[in-house]
Amino acid sequence: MPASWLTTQHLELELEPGCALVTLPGNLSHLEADLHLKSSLYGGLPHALFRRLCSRMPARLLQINNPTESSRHLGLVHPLPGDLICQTLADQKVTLTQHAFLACDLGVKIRMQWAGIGSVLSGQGIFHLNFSGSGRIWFAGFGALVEKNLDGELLLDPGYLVAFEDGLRFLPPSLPKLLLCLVRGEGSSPRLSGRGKLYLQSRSLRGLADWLNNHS
Amino acid sequence: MKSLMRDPCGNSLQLQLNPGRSFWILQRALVAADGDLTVRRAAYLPSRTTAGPSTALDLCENTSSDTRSIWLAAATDSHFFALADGALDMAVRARAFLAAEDGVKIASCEPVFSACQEEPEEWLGLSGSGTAIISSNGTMYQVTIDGEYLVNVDNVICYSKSLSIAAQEPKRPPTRKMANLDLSRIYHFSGRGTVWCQPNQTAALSSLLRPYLKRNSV
Repeated sequence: MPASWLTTQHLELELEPGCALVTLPGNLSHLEADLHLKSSLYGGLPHALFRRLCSRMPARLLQINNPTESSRHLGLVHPLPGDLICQTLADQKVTLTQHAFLACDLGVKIRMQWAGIGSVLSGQGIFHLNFSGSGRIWFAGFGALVEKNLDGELLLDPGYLVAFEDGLRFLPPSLPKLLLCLVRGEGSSPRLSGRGKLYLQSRSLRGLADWLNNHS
Repeated sequence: MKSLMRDPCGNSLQLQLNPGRSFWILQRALVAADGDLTVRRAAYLPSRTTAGPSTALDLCENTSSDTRSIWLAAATDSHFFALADGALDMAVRARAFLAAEDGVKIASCEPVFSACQEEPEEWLGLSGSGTAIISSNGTMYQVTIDGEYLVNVDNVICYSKSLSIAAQEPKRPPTRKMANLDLSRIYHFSGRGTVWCQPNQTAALSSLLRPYLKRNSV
């Protein structure tokens, strides 16, 4: 999956005639007035409701269409200050964590998918937000984004995980660790395994919140 | 003003004042100044909104015969921008304003985005000649308007007064309301001019942080 980093904290785009983009309502910064905004239950009602229930993504997304004869300009921003990245999917799948999504082309499918037993047992959720199909997808991290090509296992703090490719899966914790977690009531650091690319961010919301909580 | 210089961290700004020159500075923005500069409270702009704070300005004068320095900082991780020398006629969010040369007239404005009923922000009108310095939360970007644009008010920190502004006309209100796109936050700018925007909205970051914060720290 080719990826390109954007050097600014906002996304400036030229939308070609007849093209459309999907984003979250709060991400819109500016656009030429003759672009058409449309509220969309993107992917259909069942998927939209499922998405709303299982992630913090709203059921209704904002679809921006260019009905004119020439390209039109628009700008998007992400609520977290940090790097933006654009990935081009070609019949591939990428999983994004909460708050990472910025925008995607109209051809990209957004689905909640079963995350696997490893994810459930390691506390990383039952369903993950997957983006598949063909087209561009823009996502953002909190702070700097770090790209890592994984071929094996990686122990990580999930608060720093932004996105990972389809070849990667969470491993279930070993039985002793699982029992220890249940007894102590603490979570264990999950492990990602497989072959593929993942993106980490240099800051985490929970880390910042803990820091603020200590100073309150 | 002789030159502008950012420090390596990018979060403070050093200004060099030529002899006989003076600068208006937002009260909270002054970090330090050379000892022989005169700094006095020179203006107090009352709030034009119901709950907004008043804006206090200090006047920093260089009465010495040499160039002197002052250091400024903004409240957040900031990007600084000097609005062009020459004729200024623009509105600036008071929180984004840092400093201006003495030739710049500064006045408090009526709430600019009147349809935003809870518009808590103070706005300042800048006119006259000279340089004004503004700061943004994140890397500032400009939207050059020649025609018609819709702009999210929360991102706007400054705009040319040559632009006409109107609350977004309700051409397609049902779809926008359904999209959870708060219509009152989108404004219709038309004409020719520039809007300066900031990428980071403190309110948006705050709402993402809220679930993790202890109740008494919100």
